[in-house]
Amino acid sequence: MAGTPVTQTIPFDPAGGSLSVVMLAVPASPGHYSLMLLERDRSTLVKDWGNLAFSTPAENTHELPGGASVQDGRLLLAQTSIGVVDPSGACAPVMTVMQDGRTLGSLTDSAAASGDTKESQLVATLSGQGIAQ
Amino acid sequence: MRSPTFRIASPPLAGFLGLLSVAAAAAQTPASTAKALQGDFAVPDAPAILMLNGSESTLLRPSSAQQLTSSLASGSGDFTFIPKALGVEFSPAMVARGDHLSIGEYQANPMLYRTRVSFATGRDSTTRRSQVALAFRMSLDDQSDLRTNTDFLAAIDQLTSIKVDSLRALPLALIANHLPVVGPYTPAQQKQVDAIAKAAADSIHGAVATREAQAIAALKRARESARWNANVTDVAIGVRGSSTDSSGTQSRFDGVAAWLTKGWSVGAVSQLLVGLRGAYDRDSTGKDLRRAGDAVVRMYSGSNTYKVSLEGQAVSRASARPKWGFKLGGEFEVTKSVWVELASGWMATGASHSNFTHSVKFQLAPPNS
Repeated sequence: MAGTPVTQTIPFDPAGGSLSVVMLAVPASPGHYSLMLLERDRSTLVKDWGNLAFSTPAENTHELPGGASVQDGRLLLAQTSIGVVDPSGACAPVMTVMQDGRTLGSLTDSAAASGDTKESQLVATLSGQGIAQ
Repeated sequence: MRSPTFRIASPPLAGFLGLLSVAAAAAQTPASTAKALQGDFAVPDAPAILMLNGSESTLLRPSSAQQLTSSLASGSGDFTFIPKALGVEFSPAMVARGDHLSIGEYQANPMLYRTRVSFATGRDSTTRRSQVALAFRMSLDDQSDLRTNTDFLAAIDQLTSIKVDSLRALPLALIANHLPVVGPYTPAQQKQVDAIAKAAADSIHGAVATREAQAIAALKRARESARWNANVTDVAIGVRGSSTDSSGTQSRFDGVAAWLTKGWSVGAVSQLLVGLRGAYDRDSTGKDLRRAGDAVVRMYSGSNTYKVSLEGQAVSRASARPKWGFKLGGEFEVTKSVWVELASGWMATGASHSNFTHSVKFQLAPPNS
């Protein structure tokens, strides 16, 4: 099962456009993921995108509900299972948070896979304290 | 790991018998031996290395731009134009985009990402010339590519979906109990979280254990099938040249070679393979450019405990008589970890010379070799 979650705080501009998250499994790996948006209390579910397959960036891009101003303190929880297909055995999930077409930050789990699949948990805390311009 | 072998009789027919040695070396992992059974006539993984008679054991396979740069730097050693000894093989498209390439983008253009470049340098032991070779390898059709193999993808899709359902069970249970999905927790919360986690794990195990076991079995079958006898069409072309020293003085063209392999899956355990190789290159003295060509048709079948192959081969060299040959070979596991190889063949050179050969070889194949 998934090991220790990979966590990261991602700052954004609360006065900017809406936020979106792109899920990816590299290098070109198949698999599934679950994506949830939680309130800052960490126990209230804002949105559950369900159990989805990794496919293309367009299909794996999800806009966060509500404007940027309401996202401060919210958490994105991604749980992934990736099939190991690269001859090197390398595979990793990547969760990228974007605003207005700009990448705000990315989380990835680069731990080695030990079997047919690799499970990971990624937790991004959204911070509306502003970003460096 | 190479297994110890005991050969009882082995008349010379090096080209043929070498193939069986390759096959037997990995005798206990039949799913990985299809490539080995294709022997010298399959399109090589790194044609440039083969053109310089180099060893693939020292080949570098960078998967990122950073690793590629590092590989090239390590091969130079000093400030010469041509590195003394270097072997690199990589997919330019994967190196450029691998760290942000999705499975969907790969499947939209698999040939691009399967195209591989190999580059090798070395020193010819006879002529003492610095050599360099560059080759391109393309897989026009490759069902052994797990990223496009439909059976494998269906199996991995099912398994990872089950695993994500299992992962989701805990956060959903915590949300239902108004507990934080991620820590930190108070001691009281931690107790509740532990209890819910155990209950969720027990519930999930009961619900999906059978489905997960079936998905794992399907995945194993699909992976083995993809590696053993998948349809494949590979082509490659390479050129090599040399110079009198490592700075490129008196550079010259030394040859060009091309390979084609076409493999068809036949039933569940067999493959029919046609391999062609053509070359126009210098002979061992390094003086004259000569034409050469090889062709082979091979049929092989196999399982965990036996392998059988039947092949016909033609070898042509300019200014030499063509050679023809046929061979029937097999290997069998007589007891655990003890394999017997049998081979019988006939080879003719021109119209007047021909000979039969046979061999029996015992091999110990340690577990997990």
